[in-house]
Parts: sequence; C-alpha cells; structure tokens
Amino acid sequence: MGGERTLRIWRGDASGGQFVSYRTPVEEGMVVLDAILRIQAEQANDLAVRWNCKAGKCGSCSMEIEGRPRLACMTRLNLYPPEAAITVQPLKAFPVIKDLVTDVSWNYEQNRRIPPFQPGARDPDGQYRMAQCDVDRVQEFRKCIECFLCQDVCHILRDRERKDAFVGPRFMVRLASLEMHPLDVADRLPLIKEAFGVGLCNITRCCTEVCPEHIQITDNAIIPLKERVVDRYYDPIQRLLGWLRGRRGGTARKLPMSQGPASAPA
Amino acid sequence: MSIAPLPRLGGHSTEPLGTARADRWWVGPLFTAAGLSGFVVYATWAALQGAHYYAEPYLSPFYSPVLFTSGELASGNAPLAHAWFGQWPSWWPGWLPLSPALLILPFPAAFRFTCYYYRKAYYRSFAGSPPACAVSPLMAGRRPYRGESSLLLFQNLHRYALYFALIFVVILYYDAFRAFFYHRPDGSWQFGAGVGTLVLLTNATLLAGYTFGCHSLRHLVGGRLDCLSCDGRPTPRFRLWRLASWFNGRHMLWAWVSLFWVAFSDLYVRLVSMGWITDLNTWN
Repeated sequence: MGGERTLRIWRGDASGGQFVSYRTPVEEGMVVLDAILRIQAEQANDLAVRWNCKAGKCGSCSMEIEGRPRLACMTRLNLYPPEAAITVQPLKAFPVIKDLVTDVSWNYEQNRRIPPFQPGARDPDGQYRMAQCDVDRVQEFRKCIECFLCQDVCHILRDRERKDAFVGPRFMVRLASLEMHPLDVADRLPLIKEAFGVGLCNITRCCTEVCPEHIQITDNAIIPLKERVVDRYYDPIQRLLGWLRGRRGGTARKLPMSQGPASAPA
Repeated sequence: MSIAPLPRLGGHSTEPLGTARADRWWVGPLFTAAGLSGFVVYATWAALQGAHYYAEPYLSPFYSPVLFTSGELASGNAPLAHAWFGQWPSWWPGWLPLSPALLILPFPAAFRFTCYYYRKAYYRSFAGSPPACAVSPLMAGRRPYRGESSLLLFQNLHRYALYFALIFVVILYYDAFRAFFYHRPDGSWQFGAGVGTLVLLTNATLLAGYTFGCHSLRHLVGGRLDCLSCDGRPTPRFRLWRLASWFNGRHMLWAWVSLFWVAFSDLYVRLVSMGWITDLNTWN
C-alpha cells in the first residue's frame, strides 16, 4: 500500500460541527490513528484526538470508524477499499468535547457507585488464600482497558437514552468480577437488579463484538449476573434451596451493600 | 479539504436503522430471520399434519414422546403400543387436529424461545433492537426502553424450559436406541440399523450438544458458585462447569445445526412413512 487516502473526519464541538475531508499520504502498515496524526501535523493542527499508547492497551483512541466503534490505533487502513473515503466520528454515546474527543466522565461516575471488593475473614494464619482455578474466571475481566467501546455500542446507552437506568457492559464486567470473586463477601445483587439495571440488557452481544480485548462480556459477565438475579428473585426452587442452605449454614451469607460512592474501586 | 455540513452532533444518524456503516450489516439479520421463519413455518405445518410421523422403527422427533395415537399405521401414525397413554381421549377438542406434536412442541419451543442465543437472534432480526451493532434500533425513543425488566420478564424462566429439554434429550436418545430394533409383523425384534437410525442418533446428539451449552445449565451446574473448588482441587461441579462452558462457547453453532437437523429428521421420517423415499437399512 502507499499513495494517498481520504479521511472524512467529523470536526466540531458541543455547539455543532460537520464532516471535513482530508487527503493525506499513507504508507504500508499505517493505522487510522497514524493517518489522523499526520493530518493533525500537516493540515489541521487544531484537530482534537485523544490517544496515548498506540498499542491497543490504554483505551484512549476509541472512536467510530466507518460506523463501527473501534480503537484507531488497532484499525489498519488496508481494512477499507483504497478508493473510498474513511469516515471517522467521535463516540455516539457520549457528549462531544471537540472533534474526536468525547466526555466519558459518566463512566467514572458509574464506577464510583459500585461497592468495592470486600474480603471475608482471613485464614487462621492471617492469610487470604484462593485457588487459581477459582480466579481464572474473574481474571478474564481484568483484561478490560476501559476503552468504553462496549458502552458506546450498547444501544441502551447509545440510542435509548437510558443512562439513568443501566450502567452499561463495562460495569457489568466489573460487577461480575467482584460478585464471582472467591474472597469477596459483599452482596451486590439487589443493586445489580435495580440500580444498575441488568434486566435492561437484551443480550444482543454488540459489547462482546467490539471488545478489543475479546472479553466474553455477554456470556461470561452479563448472563451469569442475570442468572444470579433469577436465583434470588424469580426462581422459587432456587429460593427454597437457598433458604434451606441458609438454615443449615452450608453457604456463607453475603453482606448487604447499599449504593453509594465507594471508597476504593477494586 | 472540502466541507459537507451534517445536522447531527458527531455526524451520527438518529433515524431508525440509521448508521454510518458501509458494510452489508443487514445480511446477518436477514439470513437469521429467513432461517427462523423457515423453521417455524415447517414445524407448524408438520405439527398440524398428525400423520406420517412414524415409519417402523423411526419416530419423528417433533412427535416424541407419543402421548396419544390413533394407531392407524397406514397413515403413518405410531402403533398403540408406542403411545404413553393409548388412544386419543374424548376430551380432546374437535377443532384441533389429532396430532401428538401439539402436546410436545410447546416445550422445545419454549426452550428455544427463551434461549439466550435465540433472544439475541430474534431481538436483532425481528425486533430490530438493534438490527446490528451501531445501527439505530427500529423503534428507538418511542417509549421508555425497559428491555427484559418488564414485559419480557418471563425470559427469566428459561431454566424451567431447560429442565424439560433435559428430559427430551433422554427421550430422543431412547428413540435413537429404539431405531436399532425393527419390530416385525410377527412380533419379533430384529437388531440392525438404517439411515434413519443415523439420522435420529445424530439428532439426539446435536440436541444434547445444544442443551448442554445452555447458559442456565452452565450457571446451575457450577457457575452460580463463587468458589468452584475452594482448595484448588477440581470438584465434579468444577468439571461439569468446564464442560458446560465448552459447549456454551459454541452455543450458536449447536443451536443452528440442531435446529436444521431436527426439521430434517422429521422430513426424513415423513418421506419414508409416505413411501416417497426408501430407507436403506439392514432389515429389508
């Protein structure tokens, strides 16, 4: 590859904007972020774009490329036909600050609402112990780079305007990592059902499709949380079994939590 | 440099089905809708026939288990000995066809309808909610969106449909086992196998694969625990959870292949029963 490519970039701020087309020289192996930075350097010094590691690990350069939420640093130009312009837009689910930069602070507010990791009692020797096979499941969730592509593609946040009722896939992942943790004893299920709105998710899996870390958000985080909510609130047999287990003292009861600013996010 | 004004902040469309995607995003939902519609139309037609669902020793999976039968072998009904409760009861409504499938199909239908994979499939392809990723939903903004927390709350009963599905796996394997034994007119049994035996055995296996990958099953066998082993030594529940997770990772594949094959199994038995095709087997 070589020659030139056209990028059709949305330029503007909270007061409005428009698409502006730029033609820029490209070389083999370039990604969309390279082309944007070249345009910024050579043609539009005031073009706002958030980026950092250029290695797909910081989650900063999230934007929409040809209509799909993507990391610009991980999207090669040769994915697209050479003659066609590549459309680049800011994330749809969050307010635009300028050009390709959006205000994602709503996500950090949601993070603070989640009751943090709360371990139970230590072993008699003062240690905490857990088996690797028990934490394998939650370690998948630790791969999250908080790029918020899943939040952007979720139609509940993106198109339905229900940020008031649903925290989004990223925080379902965090909730799952806490709820499934073998040492955690906090009970977040009432919050997951009501305040965080797991019932709003209709599992169309777009969050999983766009995740650059290939976290199985729907299968491994959201659906297991939905099933735990069913155990607690909708399944009479499980409720009965849970009550019997509680009477026998077979299962440690989790500590109830209230929603509110957490002291230290895990 | 050229400038093209657009009305929407960020340049995003808010129209139904609006998107900046230039790929053929509609192909997936279209094929899904066509596949599911085709199956529903065929299954409904087959269930209403009430005939040609049995060709010794094969029983169509749509009609298994046979609860009642007329015993008219000439029209492809199961023999009386095959029915759990014998002849059709007098209380059966006259306006309903005498079809055992009408008593059976609601259970697998409920299992598939509430299945987490099929929910994705039909929310996308029939409800357009959304039709594809980063494509505006068909009916966004008309009323407050509640997802599965209101009208669709019944989806939470998927595990109860699963319990029935597990029973059906056993029954279908029994049917496949029974398909190895030809019942001769003189009352004797002859061991053997035919193409129909393989069809029914494959059908039971594919349905088992689909059922074992169920998200609810994966949860119930171990996923609901925070501590699957606790001391690092894999427990039977941990092994079961790992197995269910393996099937679960391929749930969509099992769902489609088993859906196609169960309809094909019915069609195969039907065509053999009607005499349209000859079953290759070791009996004749």
